[in-house]
Amino acid sequence: MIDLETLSRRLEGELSPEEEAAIAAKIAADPELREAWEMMKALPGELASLPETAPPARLNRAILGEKAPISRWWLSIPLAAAVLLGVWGLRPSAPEIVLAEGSQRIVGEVSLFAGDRRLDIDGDVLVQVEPPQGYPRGSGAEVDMKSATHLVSALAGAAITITVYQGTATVASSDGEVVISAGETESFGLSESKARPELAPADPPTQAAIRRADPAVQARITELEQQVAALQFEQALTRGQLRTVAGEPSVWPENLPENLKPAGFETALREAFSADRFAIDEVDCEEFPCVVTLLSKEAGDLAGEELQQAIEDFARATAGERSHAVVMSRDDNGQVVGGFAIIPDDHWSEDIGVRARYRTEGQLQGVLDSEE
Amino acid sequence: MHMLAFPDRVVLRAIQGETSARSELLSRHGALVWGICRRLSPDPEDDYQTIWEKVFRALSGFDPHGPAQLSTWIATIAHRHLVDQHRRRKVRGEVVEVRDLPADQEGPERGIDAVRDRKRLERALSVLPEDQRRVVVLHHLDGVPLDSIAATESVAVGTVKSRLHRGRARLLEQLRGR
Repeated sequence: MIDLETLSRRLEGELSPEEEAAIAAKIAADPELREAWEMMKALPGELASLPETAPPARLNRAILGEKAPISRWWLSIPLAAAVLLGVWGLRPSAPEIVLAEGSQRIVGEVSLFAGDRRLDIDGDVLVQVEPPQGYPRGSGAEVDMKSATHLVSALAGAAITITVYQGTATVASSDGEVVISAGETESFGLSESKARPELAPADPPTQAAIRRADPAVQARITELEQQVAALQFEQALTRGQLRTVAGEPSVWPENLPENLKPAGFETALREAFSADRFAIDEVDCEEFPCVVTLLSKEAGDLAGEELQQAIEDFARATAGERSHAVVMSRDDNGQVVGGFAIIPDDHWSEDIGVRARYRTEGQLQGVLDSEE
Repeated sequence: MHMLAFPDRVVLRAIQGETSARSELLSRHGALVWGICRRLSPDPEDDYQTIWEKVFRALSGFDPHGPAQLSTWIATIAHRHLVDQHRRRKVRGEVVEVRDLPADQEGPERGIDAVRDRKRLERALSVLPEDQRRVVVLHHLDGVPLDSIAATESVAVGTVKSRLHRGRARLLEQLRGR
């Protein structure tokens, strides 16, 4: 058997003179080993020349905030700063939304009133409205909602600034329609003395940044996520979908090789893991396939890797190269607890995989619970 | 001849938050980060975005006059993020996906030709255990020195070397189809 790790160490010049002499002699005598050494020497160069591919363009756009979903911004804007009022009873073709005060990022195709001006948006636009003096601030409740005309009229003279990130925004003005294109900012109704409203930030925050910046938002999102998860769980229960998660009990196939049947499997298992690194904690052969939990006897950086390697080697030895190993592990300060089940390719199905995963997870959790 | 080194203006502009400069950095180094993510992360799209978020947040701490190249600095941030994610997954006891052990015969190529078959090499890389794959990818594909990898992973250099040797041995095992 060829020790490929020794060849790798040779490549780094890590062998002692004795080891080096021994492996050099073997390479000279063994064509198969010589071929493996040639492959090992070529490996770093071939790895380094693997081509890189560009990421999907939409990911870069998202990072730059060029297509930030509207929901992000709704989260980021203090509610008191933006008063969006539904206005009902206008003529059917008229907009049903009035932005009365504050700023709002709007993405999509929508018509609304920004102050007293009709605004048709097709793209990604930031609208900022500073209502006129005398407008009841803070809430739309004081405005007579029975008449939409009153609301829009009350906003006559509002200062409006529109920044277009993408697409266009069309504003109705006394001189006709003004079309604002991507990259442009236009203001309406600003008096000379009035300060220009704050412009859009250069770099809109991502959702993760918003979460970090505002613990209240984070807490609310977490709460909502928990509610959604609970509802989904209840729905799954109602629909009987949890059976899918647990899977159906798998019966033992008749044509299994002996070393995968319960008795043969346990014998092979104990032979393979008789080394002092792992202890067999439990073997469950109630149904096909057997599920095993192992504990590493020593803690260390490599314990998890060794466990995975050992399981894969065992899977190859017992079920052949084309086998499926459901592997799960947990690492507590280097102490590894692992669970696995091995399914040969000719007995593999998605259903059996789901069931094996469910059983492996359950058994592993049982070990962890008993430790705690 | 004495040469004066000037800091990269794009980096300076990106530090100031200029979107066009950040876009330029994404163009220059996006493929590097994407390569790391798609080979090392179970959720490459999410990690790609988070890594860039971290890069832009930390960019003011990058010393353009310092010894580290920007690409190495970015690769280190990506590496650190992926190690954190890996540890979280392990601590939570997450199910490692069902692994299809590769077939014994993948193609007609043998010997050195198998190493030169890029698709086959990528496939062999993809089934390495995560710890070994990180070392192989970062060291061989992205040129990160082993001692830097050890520092980011908070393990001894010997551990990283051991992972490298095991990883390369397993790669060859896959490529030889034995």
